[in-house]
Amino acid sequence: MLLGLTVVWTVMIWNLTFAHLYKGDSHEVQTAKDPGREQPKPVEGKAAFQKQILDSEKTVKLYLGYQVLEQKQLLGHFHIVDIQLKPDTRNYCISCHGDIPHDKFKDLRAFGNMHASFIACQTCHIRLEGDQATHIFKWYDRATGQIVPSPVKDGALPGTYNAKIIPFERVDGALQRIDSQARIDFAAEYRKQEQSLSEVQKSKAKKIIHQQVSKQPYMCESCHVQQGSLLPFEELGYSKQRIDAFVGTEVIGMIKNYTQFYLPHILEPGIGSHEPEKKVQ
Amino acid sequence: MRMRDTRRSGSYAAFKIMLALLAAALAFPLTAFSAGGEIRTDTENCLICHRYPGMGRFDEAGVKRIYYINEMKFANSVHGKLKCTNCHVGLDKIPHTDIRKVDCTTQCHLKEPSTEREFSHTNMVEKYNHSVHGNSDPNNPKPFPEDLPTCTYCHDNSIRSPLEGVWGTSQALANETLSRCVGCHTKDHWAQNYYLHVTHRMRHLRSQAEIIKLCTSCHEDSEKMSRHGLDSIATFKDTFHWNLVKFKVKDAPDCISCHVPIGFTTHDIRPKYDQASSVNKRNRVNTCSNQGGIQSCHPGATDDFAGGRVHAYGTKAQLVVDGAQSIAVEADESLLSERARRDMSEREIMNFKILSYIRLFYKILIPMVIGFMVCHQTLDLLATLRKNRHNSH
Repeated sequence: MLLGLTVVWTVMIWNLTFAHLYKGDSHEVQTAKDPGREQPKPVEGKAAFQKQILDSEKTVKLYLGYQVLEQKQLLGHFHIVDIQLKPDTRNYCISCHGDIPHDKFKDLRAFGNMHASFIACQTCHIRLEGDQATHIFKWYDRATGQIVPSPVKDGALPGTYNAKIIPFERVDGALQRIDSQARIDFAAEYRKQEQSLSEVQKSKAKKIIHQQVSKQPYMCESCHVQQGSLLPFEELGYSKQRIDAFVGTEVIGMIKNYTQFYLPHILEPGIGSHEPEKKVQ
Repeated sequence: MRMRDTRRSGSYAAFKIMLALLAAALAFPLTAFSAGGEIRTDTENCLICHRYPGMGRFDEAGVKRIYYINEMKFANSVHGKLKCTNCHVGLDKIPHTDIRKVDCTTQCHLKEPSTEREFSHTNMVEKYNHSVHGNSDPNNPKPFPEDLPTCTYCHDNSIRSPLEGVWGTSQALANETLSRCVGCHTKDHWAQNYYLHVTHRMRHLRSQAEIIKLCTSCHEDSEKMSRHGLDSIATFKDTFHWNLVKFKVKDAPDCISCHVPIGFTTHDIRPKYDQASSVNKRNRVNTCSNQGGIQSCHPGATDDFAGGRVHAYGTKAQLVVDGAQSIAVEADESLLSERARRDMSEREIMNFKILSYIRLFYKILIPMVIGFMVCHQTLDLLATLRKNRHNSH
């Protein structure tokens, strides 16, 4: 009995104290023996997720003398980014598409994503026509989702406001924001039950969620135009100076550069190519 | 009465000082951020687009690319005086189809005051290329060049951080110092920039733990290290030096302390067998004592002291002991095995074996002692219980 107890206790104490050290040592030597001759192996599965998604951002400390700032940085990114925008809690599109959703057209995607930080997806991707069209657009707070007074009126610097523009539609004569609670709930329920749905049910749900989405979204010239802009800039609180900048030669010239040379057939599927360089040639 | 007045006037003075300090504390973040002078105008108007935080995309490999520039942060960064196109050369088309990777050796049209030549990081890059981390020797190309760190792996565009010390807050110190400068150097903005440039260099930008984190981000990867014939950093994390860092002891030695002491530069870290290396045997006494530095760690270091092993024994020693025979006959031996044979002297192997036996001895002894103690106590408890039960009957 004494011997048995001794063995049990010894094993237990070993496991609790030194076993991990021994395992660690042997593992290290084992892994170190071979790789010297081998090509680096691609990281896969869980490890790849950790490396590519979780570890791709780092926290850097800035010692400013009077305080230490901790900021989220992208790994390998040179400039201090320090993006202060709060996450958009209202937008249900980004729960599937992410908040950097544009990636189809090489030369346009960064601009699309830039606008997505202060314009709700529905503003460009839904064309309200007929009775539905109201031409009413308002700002909503990214954090609370509530309609708020224009942040640009308060003199906030471009790109720093925590609000987005959302269109309003008319339903049965009543005015309502296009990202209605009913639509948010529907999309959220789909996300919740997605794993248990059949393929047919999934397709149906997706159809309903994307029912209003237009195949031809509004493009740059819809807003950046001298007359008849889609967005009522003045009502949204922009100063005359800013409006002049939006529709000024600099911006419009740049857009022409894009549309003339790079995106001539963007809205005509089957014609041309998605590779702008080839298009130019 | 006078005493009370004195006390009252003293407390009033203290109150005034507190108010002044509070005002300074509130004002300082703003003044500090503008300490580099006025925010430079974006003369090329790049910020018309790049000031929007959402400006970015995912590339084909799924890597997040952000093209946003925080104007305030950039203006107060070490590169804040430069135009975008000084580094991003050739960006004269919209869309930027002619984009080129930033080359840190580019001359950026700032005059380097000591030589009056246009400034560039060429000399640093040249040093780096010849260092242990570089890959410039065409006659001796390094294996797995993709493992080697690039400039931006270690550097970001750091915010200029002014000096803080026993003289007071950064701003107070700046005010005091600059008041002596601007008499001759009449351009305030120039003087402030110069002051910040110098004081930024007078302090460590990273803490010991952060430096170790940066170095270990590569050196902890045992596979990567094996490919280059190196032990992983686990050998450091078994040392007294690491324990000092781990427990946040002030002035604890990090990687830089030994590998880049006074007289050496981070861009020119050499392998230990190179005589230009700070950890080469002929330089070790100086490295351990760090003569001339602010912190002289082992001022009385001797050859024997400095000749001792700093990092613990790692894979190399284990490899030699485990497979001394097989390594010797393998024709296609790995770089790690080759280095292991070269670096591990017989004496070191002997030391490693002795240490291994001592470690094994304790690995057996401690569980046995504790195990026997627990058994003894348990049996003693059982005996006492049985005795009590017997007595009660």
